[in-house]
Amino acid sequence: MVTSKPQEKLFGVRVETIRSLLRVIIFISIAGAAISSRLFSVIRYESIIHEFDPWFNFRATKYLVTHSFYDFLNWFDDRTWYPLGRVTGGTLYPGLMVTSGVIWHILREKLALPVDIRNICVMLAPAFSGLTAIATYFLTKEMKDSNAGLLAAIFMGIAPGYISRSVAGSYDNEAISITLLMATFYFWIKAMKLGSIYFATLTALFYFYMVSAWGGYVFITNIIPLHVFVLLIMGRYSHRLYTAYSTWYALGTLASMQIPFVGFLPIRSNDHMAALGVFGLLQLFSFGFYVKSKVTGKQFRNFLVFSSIFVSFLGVSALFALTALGWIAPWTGRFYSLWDTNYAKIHIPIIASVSEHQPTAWPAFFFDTNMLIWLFPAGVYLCFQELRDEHVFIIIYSVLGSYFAGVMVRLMLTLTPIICVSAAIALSKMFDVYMNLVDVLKSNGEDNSEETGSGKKSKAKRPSTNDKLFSIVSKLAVLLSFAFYLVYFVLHCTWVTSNAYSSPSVVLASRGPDGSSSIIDDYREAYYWLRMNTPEDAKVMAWWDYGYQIGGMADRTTLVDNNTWNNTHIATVGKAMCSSEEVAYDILKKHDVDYVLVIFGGLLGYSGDDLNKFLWMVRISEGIWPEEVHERDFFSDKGLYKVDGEASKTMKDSLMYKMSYYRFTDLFGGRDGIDRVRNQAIPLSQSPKLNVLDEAFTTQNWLVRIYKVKDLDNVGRDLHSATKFDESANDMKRKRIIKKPALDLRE
Amino acid sequence: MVKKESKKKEVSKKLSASNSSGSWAFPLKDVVSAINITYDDYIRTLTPRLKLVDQFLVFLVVLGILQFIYVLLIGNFPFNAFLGGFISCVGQFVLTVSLRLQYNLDTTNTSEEEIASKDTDSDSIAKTEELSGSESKLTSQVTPERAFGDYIFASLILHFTVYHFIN
Amino acid sequence: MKVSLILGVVFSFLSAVLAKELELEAGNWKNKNYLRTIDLSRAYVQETCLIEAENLDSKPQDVYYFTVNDGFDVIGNISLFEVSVSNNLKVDVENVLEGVYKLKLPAPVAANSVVEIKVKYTYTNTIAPFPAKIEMGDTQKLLLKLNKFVFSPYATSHYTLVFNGISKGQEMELVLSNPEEYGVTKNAPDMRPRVENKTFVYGPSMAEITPYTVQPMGLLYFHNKPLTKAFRLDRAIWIPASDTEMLNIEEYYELTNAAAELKSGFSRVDWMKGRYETTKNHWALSHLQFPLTKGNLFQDYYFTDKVGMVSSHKILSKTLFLQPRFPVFGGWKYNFTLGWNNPVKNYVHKVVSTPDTYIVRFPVLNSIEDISYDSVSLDFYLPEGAELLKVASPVPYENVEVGNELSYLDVSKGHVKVSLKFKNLIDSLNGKEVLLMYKYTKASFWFKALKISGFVFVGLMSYYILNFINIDITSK
Repeated sequence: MVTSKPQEKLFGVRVETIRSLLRVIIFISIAGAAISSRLFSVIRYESIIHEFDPWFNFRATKYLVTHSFYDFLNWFDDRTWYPLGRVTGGTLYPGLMVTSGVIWHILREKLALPVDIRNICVMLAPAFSGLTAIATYFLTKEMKDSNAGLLAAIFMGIAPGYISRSVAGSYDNEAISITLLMATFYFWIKAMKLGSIYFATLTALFYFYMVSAWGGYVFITNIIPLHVFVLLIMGRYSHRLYTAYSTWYALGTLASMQIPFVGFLPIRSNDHMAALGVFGLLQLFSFGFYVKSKVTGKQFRNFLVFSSIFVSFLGVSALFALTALGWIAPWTGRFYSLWDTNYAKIHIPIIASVSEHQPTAWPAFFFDTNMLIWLFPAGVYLCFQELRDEHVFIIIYSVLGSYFAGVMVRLMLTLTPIICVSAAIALSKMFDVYMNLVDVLKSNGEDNSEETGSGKKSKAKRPSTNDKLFSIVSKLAVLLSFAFYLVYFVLHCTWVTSNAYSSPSVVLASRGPDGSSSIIDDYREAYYWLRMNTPEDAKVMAWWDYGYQIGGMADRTTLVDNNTWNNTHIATVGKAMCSSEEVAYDILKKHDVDYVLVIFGGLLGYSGDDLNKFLWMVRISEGIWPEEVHERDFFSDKGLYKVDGEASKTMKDSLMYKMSYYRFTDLFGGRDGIDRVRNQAIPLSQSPKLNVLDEAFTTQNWLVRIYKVKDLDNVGRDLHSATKFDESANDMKRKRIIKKPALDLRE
Repeated sequence: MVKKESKKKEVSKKLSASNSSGSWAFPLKDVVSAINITYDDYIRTLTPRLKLVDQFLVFLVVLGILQFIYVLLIGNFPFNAFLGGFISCVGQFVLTVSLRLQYNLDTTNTSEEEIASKDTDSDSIAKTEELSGSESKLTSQVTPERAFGDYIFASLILHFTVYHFIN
Repeated sequence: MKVSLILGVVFSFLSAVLAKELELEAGNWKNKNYLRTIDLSRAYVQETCLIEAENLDSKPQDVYYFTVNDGFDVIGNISLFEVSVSNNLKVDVENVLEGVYKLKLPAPVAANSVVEIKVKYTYTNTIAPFPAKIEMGDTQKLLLKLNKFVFSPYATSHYTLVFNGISKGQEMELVLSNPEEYGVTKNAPDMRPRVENKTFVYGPSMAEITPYTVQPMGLLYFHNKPLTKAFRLDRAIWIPASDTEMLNIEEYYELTNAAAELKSGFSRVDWMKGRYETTKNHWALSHLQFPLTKGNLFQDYYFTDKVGMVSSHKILSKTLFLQPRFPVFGGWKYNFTLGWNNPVKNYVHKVVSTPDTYIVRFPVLNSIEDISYDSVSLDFYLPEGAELLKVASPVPYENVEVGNELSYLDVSKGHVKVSLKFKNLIDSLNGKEVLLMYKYTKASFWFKALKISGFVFVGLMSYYILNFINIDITSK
């Protein structure tokens, strides 16, 4: 990391050559580290798609590679959101699927490697994380130098905040979009520095790719205009800025409208208006500058005052008029929830019910970034000190990123890159200062003026050898302690990755009392049962969390899934779950439901089950049917959420309660059943009876329970009385069967 | 857009002048004179090449305005077609302005006479600019040929997207 | 249903007519003694007929016609048909019609002398649970429908019917809806069952049984085991190009259980309480057992299905146990894939006499016990550029297809795929080996290696050249 002149030679080879060789090797090892640390889950479990959303992406990818691209864009999926269906082709970001589809085709047809599409999907995120590291290197290099770049690259490669979303199998939009985010920013900085149309066009192209891949592209749409705006306010207008921004905006906006899901949003929605405004402003500025270069200062000031008042008046009124006319969509709910964390809780329970939309807890920052989090402000401070145009970008990004990460857990992801970049800047600055041991050793008589970076310390040490020793010791101490921190950082990252982020959540690992680990595979057991043993057009009702998984693994039609586009439909499912059997049966029959699936963790002690999500179901359906569903009714008299003997009547009558605890107490041999999640006893005497559903399947650990909806009774009785009658008539029936003496073979 | 802006401003100035009080009259004169000076300067510095570029710009502006009027009068039925057309005008305009700026940038630090022989002398220009601080050092890397190449590259992408957008 | 019924009627009619015609050439035999043993211990039916046939003709005869003891279309698919004569001499068997076999005896039988013929055949898809839906705790009963008498073109004088492999059985009267069409014999002799040495014996009946006697009967018996059946089994065998590698075998099963269905839904409580999984005495299929043999140790095996790996598997005392994700009750299905490796030298041998020629000996099945297969496809993937010379199989196959399959790093047309299609196999064919002879030259091995490295070289070169061009443009 010693800067040397390009002509210097080492063993007859130019230092520059050695350096670039070393850089390539370092790159390869960084990418290797980034990829391999993401493979814990594959090694520990298997090559499997994780979580919920990736299952949809995986399913869509499979559709893409088995159909044509145009079929994919026009894909109407009638296997979800029954009976509405979903215009899937027009409501997804196709970037991810297209990427893996293209890779699949290239591998298959060009390289004769017919790799299974599932493996490509599983490995996509780690592969792209390697590219992210490289993009981060280039970005940071623009900020400081290549030393900082390499540090940033390795930080980016192993920072848990990013790994959390990009382990093997986490086949989600974020997997590739962080790479694209970094690349876009890099090209933006480059374009802005050089004023090059070429780089601005590249920025626009990567922006387009980003738009096609992730809804988070709005972040770019707003941060680049903000950067330009701040620069304008700081009086740093230049023609380069004009060139870079105008080119990016014109091309990028046009390109982004090619994505069906985005459509005309860039000119209609308020989220995108800032970019348009800055675009207009920049035109005025450029004109203003042109005028300014020709006329005197005073004249110009007056000119400026006039035109700016006029234009801003025009712009604001146009914005209001258009919003009022409905041409521009008002800000979306998710957007509001970014500013007011309580907004979602009050207005849109469905957004609030997602755990990754919760505000971030403080320890999460340290957990996800470890030592980088305290280097981060230092890096930002250094940016302030230098404050070139690109540093302004870092500052804006870090402020916005920190805020958003604080509001929503999942936006930790967008903060992580900037943390890595600024921490790398800080750390490399520090290394620049403290690693200069060579100068200390040889600088006895010389006046080494190059050593400007070392600042005070180098000045202080010069007088005597004693001081020199001290300075070496102090430098070594600092270096060693940081080396220790770095090692600890790597350990922490590995630990976090392997323990916290490598679980596929479809498969659970458990430890027996003797320390042996076993795998709990109930989800797949249930889904595979559905896939194998139900009619192909069976409709399965489950809470929306499991919609994508049912679609992907069980291949059955679902009512609702994780694409929560229709709140009413979700509320309908919620209502069916939380109302009594009679009410629920009407809903089930109206929606042609054949099977109902619930997650029940009471036997296993799995806390993420449906009963724990039950209150959200109640709340969401209460939002639609406030007079039929009341959250209060589900609490016991003391106002507690109880499932034991004290549970309220509404609770005990609800379909969810009954399905969860149906025949649960039978397991305990005549005693009360113990729910191990809620630590409450289910009284034997109150074991629920089901009249409108039949138990169809329950998995090994009772995690998933599937019920079949009974057909309408052919005598026309309601099912409740029919069940009672059947119970009493059971003996009679048996006799009837016995009565048949000889066989009657009729073919 | 430079011209359009200027016209717009002039109109606006007249409007504001008609209903503003006397205290505004003095700065207003400044503004008018500023525009006049700029215009004169513009005419003075015009070279054949820049003139060609500017004519193209005017053409784009007119085309854009025509499309806009069409939409206002007849309606925006194939909305993406209109958008495609309109944005292609705006995009091309912006790109051309950028190109013009990059051409112009080389001339700003040198005397106007050198413009004609700019192609041959670009090296010396780069040298002179190297002295004038780090910022312009960066821009000096953008030679006119490079700028034009970039311009064509960006325009190609722009029109490909527009073509795709319109179907 | 209707159509098939009519077709069946027409067919049986036709066969009756043809059989009558055959009678002319069928010769003149008499079954002096006919012992029919039916083994019901498995998921399919194994029937062994010991026939003492007497030549009634004046001159020696060597053709004996054997008809499967059916007569009213109850026997499903005949899987295995084996014939031997007294001292294990070879008998030429020709399947003249469905269920009619022409046996060419090794030597003509002199007039009035007796020959002993042993016919063993197996049929699948014939037994069905009765009642078809039962509770989880009930014991499964199966119903076998059969012809109580001999359906032979010759008269039989001495007849015995034995059932073994059952613990408890009960004869049922089968009433056909259309007895006339099948020509049910009116005045068949009366036979009463008795229990003898853990078997269920009818007869011997001394009364003469006329040719083509049909007397439907049902046998209801206890059988508390699953009736495992594979609709489909695809066996892919990847033969590597060099003998240092491993042979890859991958099997894809579409499995079902033909046993009784659950009357109500599957209740996990009852399943846990009954401990059926551990006692293994239940008609639900909860374990699949693949025996390990000397040549086949299931090295590096993997067990997956369409949603990923299945973790419940282990090798215990020379058996590979696979546990499906869920117990497979009657009517339920379970598809899965099992793959493993085997050293090439166990199966592929070089022919010494001719150069570049190899022989593959590979078993038709590596089967679990007690299972029947409806359709099996045995696919050999020979190395790229190989040439198939010969295929031989001890089990008759439907057809052979030779095609190509593109696989990893295939540069030309891909691996040569030889696929043999079989129908109606059973687990007892386990040891039978298919022989495959192919030619694979060293030249095609090196050709492939060179071609791959050539591609890599061209790729790198073009990258280099592209780089060169790129630089050219930017430095303009």
